[in-house]
Amino acid sequence: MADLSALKASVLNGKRVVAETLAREALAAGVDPVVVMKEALIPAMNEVGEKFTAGEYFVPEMLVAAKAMKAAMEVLRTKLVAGSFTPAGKVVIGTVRGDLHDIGKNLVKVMLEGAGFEVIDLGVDVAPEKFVEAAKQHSAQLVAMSALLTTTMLAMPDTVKALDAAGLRGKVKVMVGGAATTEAFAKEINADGYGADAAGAVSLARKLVGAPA
Amino acid sequence: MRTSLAERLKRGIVLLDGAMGTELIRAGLPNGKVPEAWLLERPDAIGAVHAAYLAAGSDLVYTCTFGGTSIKLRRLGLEAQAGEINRLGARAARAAAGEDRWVLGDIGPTGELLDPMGDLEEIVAQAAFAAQAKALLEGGADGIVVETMTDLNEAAAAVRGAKEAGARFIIATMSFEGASKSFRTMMGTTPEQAVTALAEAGATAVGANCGGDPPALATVIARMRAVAPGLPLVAKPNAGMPVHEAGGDVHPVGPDQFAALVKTMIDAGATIVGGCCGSSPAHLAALRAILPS
Repeated sequence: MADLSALKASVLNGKRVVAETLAREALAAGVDPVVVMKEALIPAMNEVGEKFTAGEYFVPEMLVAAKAMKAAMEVLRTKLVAGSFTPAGKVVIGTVRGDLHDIGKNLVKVMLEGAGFEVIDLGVDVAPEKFVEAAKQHSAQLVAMSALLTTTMLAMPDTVKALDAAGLRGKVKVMVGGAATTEAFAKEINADGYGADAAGAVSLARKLVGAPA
Repeated sequence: MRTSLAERLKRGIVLLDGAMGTELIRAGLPNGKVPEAWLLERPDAIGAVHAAYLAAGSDLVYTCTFGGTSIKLRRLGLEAQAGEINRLGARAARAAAGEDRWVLGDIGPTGELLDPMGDLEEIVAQAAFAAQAKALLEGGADGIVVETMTDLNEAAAAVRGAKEAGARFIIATMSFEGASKSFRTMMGTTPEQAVTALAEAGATAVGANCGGDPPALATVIARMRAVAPGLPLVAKPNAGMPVHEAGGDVHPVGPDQFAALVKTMIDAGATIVGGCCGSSPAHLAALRAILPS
């Protein structure tokens, strides 16, 4: 019998090799990969987010947990029948034009993946038209932008305007975050929400796509 | 002619400089351009910032090489010029400081995450820090400052790199959050862990710079002082957190208020003080005015 609670614990504790092995064992025991995701991996990452918010976990613990989760996911992917698992939503993410800082953006990315979102990562120094193009191409529900610097966050309203101009705002919600940004700034530039940290970004993304918390 | 920094510290509080980045933005650094690239194009603008701080009374200036590790410069396609950029940065600061005042070669984070969080091996990071420190010392720096670190392993690797390059005076400061984050760095390091590990790695002075809550630095310094009674401690706070306004960003803490803020850190045990983002020569002049001469 596959031990899904041990798998969940291995992710929570950032034990990558253990997580990989237990995921393989679960598949060998005939457990549906969708069940493994829904009962072990996603709940583990939810708990990681809760511990981070509570100040029990910090960025390093969150990152090693995400790495363990991804390793287990890779094992499942080989057996995941196309269409059997519906992502919570599709997110296009990037650090805005002129800004090369990606640690925060990468954290949000792994936490969104851990929550079952499909994430299209455009990297750093992403121009407004690149966000628009990717949102269109992937039919994304969310565009997530990051900026560390007060000078580069000014590229965020440009992206919002470009999405407007492309007629995408009805389909795509915009979330922003990063050291320079604030809730008030998000409102001012007409974004749909602000995430104070990676865990906050996940709750916000769920709210924006209407997924259960 | 200047003495060693260790000698100078025996005679009282050392005044560092203020912000470089926000001053360069004020001087016209274009959006998206990094200060290190301006060392190649506009060394005069960087020299002018150093000169303004020295005129305001700074004993010691940091070079404009915060993003100057080969790892960080690689993202800008400037990796091949890393040595040149760091030597230029040290020369610009030395030219402004002359032979009477001190220059520390500035080393910031690589921008990558160290293993096991990310893919950067500690030994690779240390080698890049050592190469940067070597170029800074060749350019005329009196020692090295490692600053704005959030990962203790990366900070310690930078200190060891600086030592390996032959630096005899090494400051290491990390960026701490406020009370809401229990005064830890983004990566969860406490002030006590930082001061203990960085002194052990070979730092001559340890402290805090930048960060999410400037007044919190006084608490950080007091906590470091409690576990490191004899160590020189460094406080280099922001002039408040930037407020975005229509005409550009404003750091809300003015010169006199800034001097009062730093005074709380001196009272908590800081012996080397200055300003980070948003502080200007006027802030440093106000701080100089409250220090015993």
